[in-house]
Amino acid sequence: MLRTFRTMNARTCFTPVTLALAGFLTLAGSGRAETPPLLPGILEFAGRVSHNYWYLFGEAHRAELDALNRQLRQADQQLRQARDDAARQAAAERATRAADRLLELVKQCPRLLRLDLTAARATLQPAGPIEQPGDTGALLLEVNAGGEGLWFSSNAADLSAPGGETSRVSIDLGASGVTYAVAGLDHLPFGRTTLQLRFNRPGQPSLPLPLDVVTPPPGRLKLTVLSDDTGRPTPAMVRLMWRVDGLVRRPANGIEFAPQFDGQGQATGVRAANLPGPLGVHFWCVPGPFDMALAPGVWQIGVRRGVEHEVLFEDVTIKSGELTERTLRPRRWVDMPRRGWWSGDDHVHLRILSDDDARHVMAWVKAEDVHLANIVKMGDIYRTYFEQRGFGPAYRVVDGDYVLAPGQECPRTHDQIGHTLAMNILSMVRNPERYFLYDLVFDEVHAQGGLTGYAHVNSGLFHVHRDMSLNVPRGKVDFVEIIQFNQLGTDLYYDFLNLGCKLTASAGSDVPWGGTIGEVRAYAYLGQQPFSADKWFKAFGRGRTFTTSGPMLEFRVGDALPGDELVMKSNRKLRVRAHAWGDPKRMAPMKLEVVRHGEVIRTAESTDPKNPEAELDFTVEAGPGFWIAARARAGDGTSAHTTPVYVIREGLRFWKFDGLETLLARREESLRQIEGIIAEAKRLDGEGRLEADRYRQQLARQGDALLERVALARGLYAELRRLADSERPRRAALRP
Amino acid sequence: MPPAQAKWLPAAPRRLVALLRATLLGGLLALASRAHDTLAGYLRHHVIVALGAEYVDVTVHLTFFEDGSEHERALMDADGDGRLSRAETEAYLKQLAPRLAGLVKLRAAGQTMDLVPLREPELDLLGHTRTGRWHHRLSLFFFAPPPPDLAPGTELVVEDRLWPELRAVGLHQVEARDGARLEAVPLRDSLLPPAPEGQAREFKARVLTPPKAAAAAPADVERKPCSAPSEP
Repeated sequence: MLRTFRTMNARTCFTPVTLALAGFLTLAGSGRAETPPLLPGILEFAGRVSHNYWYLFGEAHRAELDALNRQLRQADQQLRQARDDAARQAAAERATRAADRLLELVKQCPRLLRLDLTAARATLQPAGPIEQPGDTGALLLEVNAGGEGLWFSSNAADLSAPGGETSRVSIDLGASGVTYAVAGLDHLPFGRTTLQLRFNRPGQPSLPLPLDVVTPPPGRLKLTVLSDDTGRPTPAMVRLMWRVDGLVRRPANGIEFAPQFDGQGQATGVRAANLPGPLGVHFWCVPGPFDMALAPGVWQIGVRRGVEHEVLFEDVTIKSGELTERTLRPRRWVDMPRRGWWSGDDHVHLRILSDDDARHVMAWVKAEDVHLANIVKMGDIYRTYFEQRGFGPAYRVVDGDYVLAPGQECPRTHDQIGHTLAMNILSMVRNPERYFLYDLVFDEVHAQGGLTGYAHVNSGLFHVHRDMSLNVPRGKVDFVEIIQFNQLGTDLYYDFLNLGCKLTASAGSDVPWGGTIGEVRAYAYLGQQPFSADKWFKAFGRGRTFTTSGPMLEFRVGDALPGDELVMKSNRKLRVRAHAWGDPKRMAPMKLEVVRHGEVIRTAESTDPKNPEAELDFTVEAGPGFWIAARARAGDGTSAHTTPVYVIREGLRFWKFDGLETLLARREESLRQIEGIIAEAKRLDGEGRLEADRYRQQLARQGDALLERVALARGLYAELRRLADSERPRRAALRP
Repeated sequence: MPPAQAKWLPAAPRRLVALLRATLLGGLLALASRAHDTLAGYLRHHVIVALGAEYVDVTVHLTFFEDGSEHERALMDADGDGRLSRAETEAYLKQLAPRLAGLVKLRAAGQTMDLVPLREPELDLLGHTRTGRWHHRLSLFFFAPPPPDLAPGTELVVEDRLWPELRAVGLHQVEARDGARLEAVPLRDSLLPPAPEGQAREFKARVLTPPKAAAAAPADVERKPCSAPSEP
């Protein structure tokens, strides 16, 4: 909404903005404190010309436009917060200077269109056609409606949805005086377009005027991304951003995954990884080379191929009518398969019901260089999602060293006891009538030869600690997700490790809620064996893993790898070696820690900005045994963590003996919470209030069976207490 | 619920703001009661702090997951036709922007600074221009002069009071210019419960190396002699 200001005598030599501000101050002094502090519209105008439409003024003015925008906005805030006339005056002067300079730049802009509505015949000068840079553009106008007043307005028109046979662009004007307007134009056709500009003044009929705009002929970009391993074209994550408007365009063969996402999560083909800095901007998955028309000008091309490759950004100039060819080859900064480590993502949701579906997902895992993706059909108590053609080896999709293996995320309860995962299953295991009895699912998955785990353990989401308290001590669980959305979370993980329960560290992106496949990944160690899904599952099941969103991590205790047990008959020194390293271009510095029973016992940190690498090599006494692991944090905010090595003193459990009371108390609390939600569900069910709440209705009806498991768990924890008592003398004897 | 910041609005829009506020409050309370069910009820706060010699820029990308997006899309759909036009989304942003401006602050060395909106908020419907259960992203852009005497070890804390009643997924990162080095202090837990009344969610960054001072302060824009609006 635009407003009129009374102005001072025009013979006084002030700029138009000063006149307008003086009018404001007069109004303010007369007690009308609600008047907006600056000319309405000028802030949005300044923001848009500095950020979106700077090219109207040329690169040379871009920095100044940004500075003027900031100065205006700061002055606006200072005016609002001023407590006395002196402060108000200073802010007003600052605003005046910035606004005057902005107005000067606008008036000097060679692309300024002028329209005098007071003339006998209102015509735009120049008359056109007006050149636009490409499929987006803008018009900058000065419209004189006669009389007093100074206004700014900002509009935008999306020309992909033309009204009838014309492309309408609305421009709002002040009732009188001069309006400076910027109108953005999106989705301009190539060549010549006649726009119908509609000038809208309060209380006046809209004035239509035609204006031709012309865009230059497009150029062509032919882009090929090569694999650094083979030198052949490969799928890749590609970003095309036009420097003129800063917007990302979809590559010609960019895969639209939306139909495979069941309308859930971020159901779109453009993906932004949950990773820091340049990794987190928008990319599309392209399955191979493409050749497409693009507006002329400078384009940023970005190419990613997962965590083991450098990210490439390059500016390329596209010229009208010309073909520009680029071949890019993102370089590996590390080759983990050569070191025996193969990446996986334990949590990927995408429908695969056809060969096309499979091809799309395979392109994505290859683009992100993730060797095994657990494609999980998701279930809840009502239904399933992300349907799959089938399960088992026959339904794996294999292309060289890349595998899509069907799994499941089910059962899942959100407000009760957590979400589960399974890998390498032969058939989906789901029974709504026994939905809360997760152990039955775990047993069936194990009977199929699969692996069982919990999702979201890094964050503790969905009260997963509750079912973990039931089934982890019973040995029914193989793995837990400890890193997701670039957040490493170890509280729950350490609690159960400290109780002497072995758990493999895993990672899952949870696409489409996550950004991209492999933004976090679990590496499994196959050594010199050739890669296959079965070997990967076997290694994973042995716990030979580390998880990461960036750094690479190697860890040994003696010759033992993560997941291994070292059984000691007597005390001796053990050599611990840990090595963390990362992409030199973005991960420095690197901090490496070795944790034992969750406590940091050694740290190393690199500070060389060119060398994000840290190593530790030291000895520890085996003592009464422990679990020990390595973790790393890179300077860019990414993290890594290994599965532990379990040092077991014969006859003793590897648990954190001195912290048992606290650990057991937490588990008891989890069990009490389960009892509490069952009791509440039963009460509500008895009152007939759960007809529309299947979760709690079934919880009530399965509650007794679940309470049996609570009792069983309690018995297990009591057993652990007795075990602790029996160990006490032996442990005391071992103390130095 | 963002408190009213609209005292400077003329009367008619203020009534609309009050109506909008009431609708939002009721809707958000209903939303909060469902929001505990699934991740669908969460709001992701992605906070980026960029430190340079002249300015600290704070960008907040709010990704509304299904519950929140459904609710906000219904608010955007002024004509109720199930489609979200550009005019509708722009009107939604215009109503929202003033109330969000004061909800993000920057604290450094114990001093809290008001952030200045750098430009208008941006809305990305993530490819879905209809009402319903999708995701969408609302991006807010702020800046402030860097605190004086920034020493290594100083913490820059973004205090975020946006939609405090909704559970949140927190993600933050830092960027540094002009020779500065900054590190993001990891969140204790990426999942953030509803914030107690009056409390902000905090995203911290630690200054490792302050930025080098600008070579010269930008010259003030000089007042020009009287100039009339351009003649046709």
